[in-house]
Amino acid sequence: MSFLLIILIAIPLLSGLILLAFGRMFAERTSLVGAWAASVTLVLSCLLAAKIFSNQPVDTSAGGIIPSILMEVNWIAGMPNSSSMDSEAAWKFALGLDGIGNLMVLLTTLVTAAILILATKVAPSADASARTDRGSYAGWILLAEAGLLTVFMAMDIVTFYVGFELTLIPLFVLIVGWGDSDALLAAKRFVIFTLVGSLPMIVALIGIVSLYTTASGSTISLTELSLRAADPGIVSNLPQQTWIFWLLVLGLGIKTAVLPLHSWLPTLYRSSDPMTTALMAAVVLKLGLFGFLRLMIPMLPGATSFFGPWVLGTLGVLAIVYGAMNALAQKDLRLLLAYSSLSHVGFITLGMFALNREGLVGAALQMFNHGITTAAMFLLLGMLVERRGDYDMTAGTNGIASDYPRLALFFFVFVLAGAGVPGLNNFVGEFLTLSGMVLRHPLLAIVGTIGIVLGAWYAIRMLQRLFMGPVQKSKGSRPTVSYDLGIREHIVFGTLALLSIWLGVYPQWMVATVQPDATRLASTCEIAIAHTVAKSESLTSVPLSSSFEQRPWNLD
Amino acid sequence: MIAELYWLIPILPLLAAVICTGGSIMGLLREKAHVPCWIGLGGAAVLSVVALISRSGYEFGLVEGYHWLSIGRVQIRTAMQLDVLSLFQLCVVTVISFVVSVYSAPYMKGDGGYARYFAIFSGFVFAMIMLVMASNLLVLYIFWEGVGLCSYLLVGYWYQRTSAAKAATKAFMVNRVADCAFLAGILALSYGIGQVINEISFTERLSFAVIFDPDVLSRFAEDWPNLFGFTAYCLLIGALGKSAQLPFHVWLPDAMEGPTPASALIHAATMVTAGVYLLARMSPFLEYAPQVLVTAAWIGGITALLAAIIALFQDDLKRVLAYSTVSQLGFMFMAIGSGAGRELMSVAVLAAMFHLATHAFFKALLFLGAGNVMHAMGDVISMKSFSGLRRVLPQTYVLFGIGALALAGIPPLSGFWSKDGILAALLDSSHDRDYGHHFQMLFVLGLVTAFLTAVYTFRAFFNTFHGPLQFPREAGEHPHEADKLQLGPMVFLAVGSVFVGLALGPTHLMRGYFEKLPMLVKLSQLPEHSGWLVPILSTLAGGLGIAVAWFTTQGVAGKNLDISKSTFAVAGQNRFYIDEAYDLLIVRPMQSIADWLGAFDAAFLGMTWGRLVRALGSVAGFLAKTQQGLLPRYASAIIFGLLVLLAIMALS
Repeated sequence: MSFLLIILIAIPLLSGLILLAFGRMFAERTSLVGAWAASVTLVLSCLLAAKIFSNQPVDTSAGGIIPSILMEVNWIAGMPNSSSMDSEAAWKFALGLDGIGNLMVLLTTLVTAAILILATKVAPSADASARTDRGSYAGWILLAEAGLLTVFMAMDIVTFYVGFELTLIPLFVLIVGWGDSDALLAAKRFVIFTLVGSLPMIVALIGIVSLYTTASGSTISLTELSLRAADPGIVSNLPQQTWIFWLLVLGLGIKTAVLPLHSWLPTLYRSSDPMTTALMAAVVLKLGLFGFLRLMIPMLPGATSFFGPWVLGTLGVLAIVYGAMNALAQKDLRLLLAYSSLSHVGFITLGMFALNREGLVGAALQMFNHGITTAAMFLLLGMLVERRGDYDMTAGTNGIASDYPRLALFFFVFVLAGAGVPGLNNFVGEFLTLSGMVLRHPLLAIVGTIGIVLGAWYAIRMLQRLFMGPVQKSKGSRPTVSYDLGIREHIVFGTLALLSIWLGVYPQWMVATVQPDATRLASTCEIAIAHTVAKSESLTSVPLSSSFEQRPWNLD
Repeated sequence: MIAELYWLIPILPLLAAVICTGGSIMGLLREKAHVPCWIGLGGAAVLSVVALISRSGYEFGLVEGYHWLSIGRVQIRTAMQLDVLSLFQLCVVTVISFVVSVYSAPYMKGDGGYARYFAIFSGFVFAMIMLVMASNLLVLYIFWEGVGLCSYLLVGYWYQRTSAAKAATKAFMVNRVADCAFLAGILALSYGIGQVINEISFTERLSFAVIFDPDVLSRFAEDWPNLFGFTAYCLLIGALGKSAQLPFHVWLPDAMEGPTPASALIHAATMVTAGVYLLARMSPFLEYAPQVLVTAAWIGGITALLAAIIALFQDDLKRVLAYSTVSQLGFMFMAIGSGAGRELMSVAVLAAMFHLATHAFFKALLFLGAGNVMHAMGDVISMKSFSGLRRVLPQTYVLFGIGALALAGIPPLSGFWSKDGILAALLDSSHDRDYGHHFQMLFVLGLVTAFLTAVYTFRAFFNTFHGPLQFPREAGEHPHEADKLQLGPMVFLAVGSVFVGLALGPTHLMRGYFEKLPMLVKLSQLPEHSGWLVPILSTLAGGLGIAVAWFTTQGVAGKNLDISKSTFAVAGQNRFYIDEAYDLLIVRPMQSIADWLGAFDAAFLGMTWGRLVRALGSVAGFLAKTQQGLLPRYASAIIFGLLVLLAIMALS
């Protein structure tokens, strides 16, 4: 079974490379090949998900990341602890799936398949010369998918980092190649931001590996590292974890667009193609959040439970309100959605750094739910602009529901889901994140509920302006498509809408897949909190510099 | 009845909603969309009446459903709460909605969105049933939002109209603000209950069985008085929003943009009473927060008076009825609030629920009557453009008259008995040691409002049906009386408006049924209020009101009673400028802050980061200049480096 993991990455990777290299041979059918490759990947990930679902580990006591399916290959045997050559101490290349990873894999394959199925008909750019190049668009999307899947399935720290950074390359090409005229500038800003984040991150990763190097050697396995981190003896070793924690906040925070570091996001979403943005907003934005779940919380439970709730929790609440207020000010639909993403990610951070089971499950769910909703919104935006000719909410054709009832119907469903209407998927995640935070810092959660009002305001107002009211056609708009949604769009958006309703009405099956992982993370944090409280008096007396002396460097 | 059969009550409307939604999307059903709706709602109505009768012996009953969520401590089941309160409200909802659905079919005939209408209509009934039967505050909240969503969709049903689109947005947003407080209250409640009993799952904290545990409540109220008060106020705000009380009342009159039967059902008879139901449901909890109940009573009283005054000056028949609804809901809030008196909560709940039921009948009747008028007048609803319609709409005239008499509180119609109950409850509470003085004032306020109720109701009635016959051009040559399928349901409602009060009130049927109200003092242990003062006063107020309405509208020979030009009247016509004030004080400032933040984000943050990025670029440019392949530069750099190294070695 575990070989399927590598196949899951190989299909998009190889088909992407083939499309890029020999795309011209397929001529008209290039995008069809892409759609098929993405669909096969989706089916495969669903099979794996079914497997995960039936094979949940019951052990929820020990902290750490325990994959249900694992594939390991010895990579560097005995390195760097040369004294023992047994395979236990080897650095292994490992892929695996646990509940949370599985959810993200499903999200990635789902969104990619949606994009590529839609791309078979719609040219991902209004530019005529780029329109002929559908094959390479699909190719790059598939490569990005392969990179994302690598991150979500990585079970060792090196693979995680490699995937994390490699994803950037296809994304850069996608943004610049199929975006607006100022896409290059936005892409540059994105890349520089991300690279600035990469530096602290790799230092932090080295720090983590060295922090948990014991007599039996160092390890890069996430499972092993997290088990060592959960050891009651070192779980709350605050001074040693603190500097790594802050480096990770910087590195992962940039990818997550945590509040003051977010300014790459609006410009990027405005200038890249809506389909690319769908992938960016739905999946790539979750990379940093996923990093928090994979690297920060399990590896640094002491520092995370000491600083996390109030630092990142507060930033989360700020993001909820700030993002929503900014969304209210926007006229450009892409910017409106960008800031609303910022606001929604605030909910995820809020729940995640409640560091209890409710909050963590809520955050994991919300990562998936927001992905589905936002991807659908940006894809619909692509449909909308073809029929309307403008992204400006106040200009262009309005009163669209009269002419395009189906498009309006799907828009309604996803906007309402995004506004957190119960019965649709986002409500479940939002409520859980809030109820998690209410147990940690009630005040933060209560403030967070304001986001529900503001979130509804810009969303409902957008519906009113765009879809309701009498049909107003502006002279400037040049729609390229004049009919309502076709069969392909019905399949894609229908599936996503049904999923959204299903997850809102019966979220339990998804909750069940992430619950063991969340429980393990939460119990690790509980141990850490208990120890931190016990040691809180002695904490102030330990100088920070001593942590560097104690650090066991076993490299020589 | 087998326990699982109770699930059919919500499931039948849900099925109807699913079928109609499918039909609406596929373009099937077309003119047959009312059939699944009728079957579903009819079945639900019959079953709930059976349930009302067969379950009357139980105090608390739960029927299990499925686990909506279970994550360790968060376990949310969908169970149904079957006690006297929920069953009573359930019957009101299902019966009225079935009757209105029958009326809707001929009314909506020929509309392009026929199937869509019935889909939302059935969906609303499903959500309302679930709201009423929720055994858990969170489930109640979920369907609370659900009915709000259906209301939004029905208000914006004719979405091509700008006014409807705006009204829908307004309804959604005003409700959202209140719902946000409600959600905060739910979170605070779960936190508070968790402080009192630690070893309890998150769900159970929100289930009514736990919330109403007297031990838990008293400890919560004593140990955490501030949190308790905060929670209670939050729940009250939630109720105020849905029931369109001050300061949230602005959405309801605008909601009249929706189809009239929807207004009758949602914005008069059922959904807007959800706030009253919530307070009644939470009454064991609110009993510990008398100051919140007093606040509720005052808000209700002031809303009742203010809305009645505004209703006096409206020309739009539907808006008169809408403000009348706001005013009557104010009465119900006053009734619930009178529970602040010691041990009087059960009387308060009884009075509120009684008025809720009778109001549902006569207000639905009045709205359907307004619908008939609107149909006949070619969708014109301003009373300035028609009069004397009793000659063309004789049946509607009689039916509307019955509704108006009931609303005005003329004995022996339903409105009289229930309004009498509320006034009596207020009088009871006015003897309370701590809060009595509030209720003395509120009693007077109630009487004044009862008088105004009769005035505005009959002003509308006389203006519409009496006087010289005239109608607008839109009505065509011969305005016609409504279809039999429209009049049938109205006759049913009229019979209800006449007899429901008589059947439930003086016979003590309702008092006996509510005897088993969970967690409250038994009604039979309380002295029963009897006396002639209240009924005489309220009858006088009603009669006087009708007389005043007659003289002001039909005029007395030689006397000019036109006051419509006075400042007060103009302010009343403009709804005391409350909407404008909100726009000026809340919406616009928020938008300015948002715009300012948007500019800040784009300009300041964007530019700062942009500069930083450019600075990095120039550093890179500088570094690139050192790598140009010029040997002399490399050589000088090497020599410089060597010198530095040598210097360091020499110094150390």
